Amino acid sequence: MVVQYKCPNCGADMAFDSTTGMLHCDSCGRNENIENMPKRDDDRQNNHESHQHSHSSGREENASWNTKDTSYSHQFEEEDVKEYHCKNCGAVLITDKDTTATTCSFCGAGVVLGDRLTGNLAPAKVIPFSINKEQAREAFVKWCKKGLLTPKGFMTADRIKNITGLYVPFWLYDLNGRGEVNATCTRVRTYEQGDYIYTETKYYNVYRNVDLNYLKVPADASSKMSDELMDKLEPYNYGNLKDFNMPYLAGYIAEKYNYDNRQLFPRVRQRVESYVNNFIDSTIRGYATTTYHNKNINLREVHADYVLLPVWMVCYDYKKSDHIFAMNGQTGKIVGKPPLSIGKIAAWFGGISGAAFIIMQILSLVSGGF
Amino acid sequence: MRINNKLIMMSLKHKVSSNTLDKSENQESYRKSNLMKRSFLFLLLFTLIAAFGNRTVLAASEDRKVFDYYGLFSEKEVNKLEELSKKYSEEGKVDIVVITTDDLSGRSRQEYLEDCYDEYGFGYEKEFGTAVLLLLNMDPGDRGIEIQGYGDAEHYIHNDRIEHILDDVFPLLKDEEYYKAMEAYMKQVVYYMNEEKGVNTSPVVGEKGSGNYYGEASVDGPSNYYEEKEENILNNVLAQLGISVVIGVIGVGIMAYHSSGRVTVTSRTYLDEQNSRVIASRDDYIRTTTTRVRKPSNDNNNRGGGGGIRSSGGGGVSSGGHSHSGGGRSF
Repeated sequence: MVVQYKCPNCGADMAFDSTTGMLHCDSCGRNENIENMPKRDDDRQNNHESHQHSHSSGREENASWNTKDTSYSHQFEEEDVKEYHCKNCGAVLITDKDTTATTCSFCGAGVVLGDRLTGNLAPAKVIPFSINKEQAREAFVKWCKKGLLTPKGFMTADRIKNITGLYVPFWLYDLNGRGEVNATCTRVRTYEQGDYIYTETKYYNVYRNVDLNYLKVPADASSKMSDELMDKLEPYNYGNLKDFNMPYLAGYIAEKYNYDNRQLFPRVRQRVESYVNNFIDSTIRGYATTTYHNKNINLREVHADYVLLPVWMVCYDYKKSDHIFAMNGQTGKIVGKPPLSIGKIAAWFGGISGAAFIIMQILSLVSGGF
Repeated sequence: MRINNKLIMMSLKHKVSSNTLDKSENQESYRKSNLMKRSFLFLLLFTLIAAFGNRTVLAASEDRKVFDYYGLFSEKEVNKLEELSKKYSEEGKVDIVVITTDDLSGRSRQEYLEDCYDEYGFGYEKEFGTAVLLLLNMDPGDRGIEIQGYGDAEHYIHNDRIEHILDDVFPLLKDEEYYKAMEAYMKQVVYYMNEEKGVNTSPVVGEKGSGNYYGEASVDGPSNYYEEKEENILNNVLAQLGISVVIGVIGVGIMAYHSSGRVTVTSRTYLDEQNSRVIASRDDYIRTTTTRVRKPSNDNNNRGGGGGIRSSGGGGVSSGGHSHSGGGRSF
C-alpha cells in the first residue's frame, strides 16, 4: 500500500517541513497540521466502514486522505519484496524489504509504504526532524572546518556525495533495575604517638539495596546502522516525542526494525547494568577501599516502545573512499570517523611534545638545575 | 753500562788472543762479574731504601693498594681487598687505595693523605694520575675516615659524591664492619667514576662554596641533600624527551579519539530520579585493626642532622702541589 500526501488545494505532493513541523506544499505554500490528521488506530476503525480508499485528491478535510488501507493481509507478507508503484508517475519505487518510506526516484514525490507501518510494525512514537537538509549541510560543513586533525582537502567539505534524512528504528526501553550488594569497606586513619606511626583501619559491612527506574533508554533496531555510531548520537530530547503518524515520514527515508525488543534486550541490559553499578558505587562514599562480596543486579523490562528517530546520514567522498557521518536530526550532533591527516597529526604531536619539553626545561632551570 | 762494555771488550780481546778455546771460561767469568755487579747494585738500593724509611719499602715492594698499617684486616681480607682494588681499578680507570693507621704523626687526616699521595704518586697507569685514597685513622682518640680524589677523580669523585660514599660507608664503620665498608667504598668509587652526569669539570679547589657545601637544608635535608642534580629525573634531558613524547602521543590520541564524536550520555541521563531510590542501606562497623611502625629515626642518619660530623674541609692542594677533592668524618 502506497501512501502519498496530496495538497488539498492544488494536488501537488506535500512533504514534512522540519521548521514548522507540519506538512508543507511547495507549490501553493499550504501547511497541514499533522496532529490533526487521523492516526492509524482511527483508520482501523474507519476502515471497516469505508469500502475503498478514495482516489480523489481530498476535497473535504480529513475525509479523503489516501491513508486508508484496503486490507490488513499485507502485514503477514511483510517480508516479501513487493513492487510498489508511484501514484504520480507510475514508476516502480526502489525499495528493499526494510524500507517504510522513500521518495520516488523519478518524480521525487515522498511516499510512505503504509502496510509496513501497521500492526506489530506500527511505531508508537516519532521524533520529527528539526533540522532540514540545508541546515544539516551547513552544520556538516562547519563541523568539518572545526576538525583539528582533518586534512585540508576534507575541511572544504565540498565533496558531499549525498545527504539523506533517515528515520532510524529504535526501541525505547523503560527499565526497572534492582541492585543488592554486600561489601566490606575500610576507613583508614594514621596518627603519630610517641615513637610510632599508627595506622588504624576500621572495617565496615556495607549493604545497599536500590530500586532504580530508567526511562526511554534507546537502542537502535536497524541492522544497517552501526550501533557505535547510533549510541554516540544520543541524547535525543524526548520533549519532542510525538505520537506516530505517517505524514511525518513524507519526504524522508524510513526503515522498519530488524530486531524486536526481546532480541535487543541483552544490549540494553548490559548498558543499564553499568548504570546501576555506577549508581550503587555513588551511594558508597567516604571509604578508602571497597571490596564487593556479592552483587546482584536484576533488570526487568517494564515497557518498550518502537520509535523512529531522525538521523541525517552524510556520505562524503574523500580520496575515492566514502566516509559516512551521522547527524542527530533533532540536536545536530555529528558523529563519524573523519579522515586523519598524517601531517596535522605530526604537527600537533610536535607542538604538544615540544611545548611539554620546553616547559620541563624551564621548570628544571627554575628549580635550580645545572 | 760502561762496566759491561769493558767486559765485552775484554772478552773480545781474550777471544782474539786465546782463540775460541777459552770461550766458555770467558763467558763464565763474564757472568760471574755481572752477577756481582748486580747484587752490589741491589744491595746499594736496599740500603738506600732502608735509609729512606720503612713505608717506602712497602710501596716499592710491588703495586700495592691496601696499606693496613694498623692491622685492621686479616691477611686473607687484605688479599681480597687487593684483588677487588685491582679489578675495580680497571673498571674505573682509577687507583683505589686504602690506608689504615693509628698514627698520623701530628698531621690531620687530610694532610696525612696528601702526603701519602705526594710520596707514593698513585695513579692509574701513570705516576700522580687518577687515584682515590681512603684513610681510616684508628687512633682511639681521633677515629675518623677521610677520602680524597686526585687527577680525574677530583672531578668524578667530587666533594658531594664523597659525602654520598661516606653516607653509605659510615654506618658500616660504626658497626665495625670494616671489610664490608671497604668493599662498599670501592664499589661506589667505580660507580661514580663511570657516571658522567653530575660531574663538575671545573676545578673544585678554590671555588667558593664548593669545598664545604652542604646544600641549603642541612638540618632537615631532603634526599637531594648534597645537591646531586642528576637525581632529579626532570633534569635528565632524555627523560624529559621521553615524557614529552608520551604527552604528545596521549594528546594526539585523545584528539583523534574525540574526532569521531564522544558519548555525551551519562549513567544518570535516563535515570528516572523521582522513581528511583535506595531501599535499604546499612553501614555496620565490624572491627578495627591497628598497626604501628617506628618513626624513621634520624639518630644514625647523617642526612638528617649529622652535617657537623664532617671534620675536614673537603678539597685542597697537597704540599706536593696536587689538587684534590675530599671529605671525611670522625666516628
